[in-house]
Amino acid sequence: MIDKLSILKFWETLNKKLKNFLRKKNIISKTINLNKLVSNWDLYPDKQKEKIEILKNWKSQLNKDEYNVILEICKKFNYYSERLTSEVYKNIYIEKSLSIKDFEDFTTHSLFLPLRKKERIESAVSMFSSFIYTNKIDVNRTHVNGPADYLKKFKSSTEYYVNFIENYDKEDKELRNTIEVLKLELNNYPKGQKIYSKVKKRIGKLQKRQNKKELFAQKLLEDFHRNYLSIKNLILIDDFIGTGESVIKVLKEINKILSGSSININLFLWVIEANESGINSIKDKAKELEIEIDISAYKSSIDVLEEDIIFPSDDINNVKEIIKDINKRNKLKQSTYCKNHAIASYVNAPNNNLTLLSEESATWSALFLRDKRNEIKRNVSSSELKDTLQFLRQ
Amino acid sequence: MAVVIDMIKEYLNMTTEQVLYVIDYLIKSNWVEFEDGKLIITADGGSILKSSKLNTFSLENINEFRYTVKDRFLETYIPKKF
Repeated sequence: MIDKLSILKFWETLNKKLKNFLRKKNIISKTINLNKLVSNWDLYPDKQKEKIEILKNWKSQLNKDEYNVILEICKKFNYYSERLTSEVYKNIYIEKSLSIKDFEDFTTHSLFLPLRKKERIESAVSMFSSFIYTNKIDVNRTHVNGPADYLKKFKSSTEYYVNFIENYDKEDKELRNTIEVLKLELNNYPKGQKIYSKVKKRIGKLQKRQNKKELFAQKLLEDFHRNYLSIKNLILIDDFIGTGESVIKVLKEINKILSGSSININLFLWVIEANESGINSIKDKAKELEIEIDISAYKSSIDVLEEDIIFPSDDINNVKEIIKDINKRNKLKQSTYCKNHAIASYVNAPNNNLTLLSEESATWSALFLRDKRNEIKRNVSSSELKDTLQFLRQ
Repeated sequence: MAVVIDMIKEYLNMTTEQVLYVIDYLIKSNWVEFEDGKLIITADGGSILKSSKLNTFSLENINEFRYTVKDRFLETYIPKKF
């Protein structure tokens, strides 16, 4: 006869064995999936190998739970290679061409610009050039120095042309009056007389001068219209929006330039990925500055530590503690702009990423390292400092 | 692209804007094309490099190049950077 206790013991043993079996199976499947995980990213084989090595190093540094958490996060990592970036930008352009009414007219009155331009870093320009060459944008429809530079030039050109037209109108009026007076005077002289020919010659010269000025003015006006007045839309191209701070900085610059001017321009921002809260911050600031900006993103960036995105809500606090521990053990400093994203492009990883994915330390290798590209400042010695002071005091 | 732009800027002493025009010109001339996010030399571009004997040219060992500079041609040269 089989008693209840024996049945319970049997199930307990079976359960234990089943759990052990599943755990072993999980470990094996996770080891095998490392190659599969890395193959999700469009990388050359040597780079894929590098990533696998980093993940293996992490495995040796972390306990099982920590490593599994990181692997789950890595599964959601979006890497935008040159090829993928180009594809995404193509998709964005096609989507816009279908959704914007009279798209051809729209682009005729548009200028494409990178969000910002920094002299020593060409990352924004690299993404921007990918956009324009992928979509075969006429390079004359671009302004690589960014919106602030363009609008400054628009404003100063407007001021220049306003003065120019004022002077032109004044001089033109004077010339016309002089010609009219001379024409009237001409009636007083008989045709054969020397004075008649002189006055007529003078009228001819003035008319020639008037035509030349008119042609010159027309050319200038055509340039002004072509380069500035005909531009109704500035389409800003960038890679990622995290906190939105970069865009807000540009909006503030634009606001400063445009305040008090009559320039009326529509702003568009097209990006690969954007964080929702970042977009909202931008929209709030734009509203405050009374600037309109239309933002489109190919994809929404995820916060990998948000509930029910990767990890269920009842597990999330545990996951956050795990990440915190790893950061602390490896002295990884969280950026102010951290939004726990898991993205990178072929150019760089943004400063919004989950710290351990893109920051390194003496004990930690980043999976997709953020290249800070800071200027390496040479140390100035005290004697050099002394020389500098002496030079300035002379 | 960042590397290509930086390189053209440095070696031809140009602004970024001018570099984009240069690339645009090369694409329109069908000497390079933009494919899968990269600039690639076309067959036409390759032939031009070959006929100019530049098809094996590389910037990697440029520091090892030895060349004679005829000073008299540089007398009136004013470097743009200055």
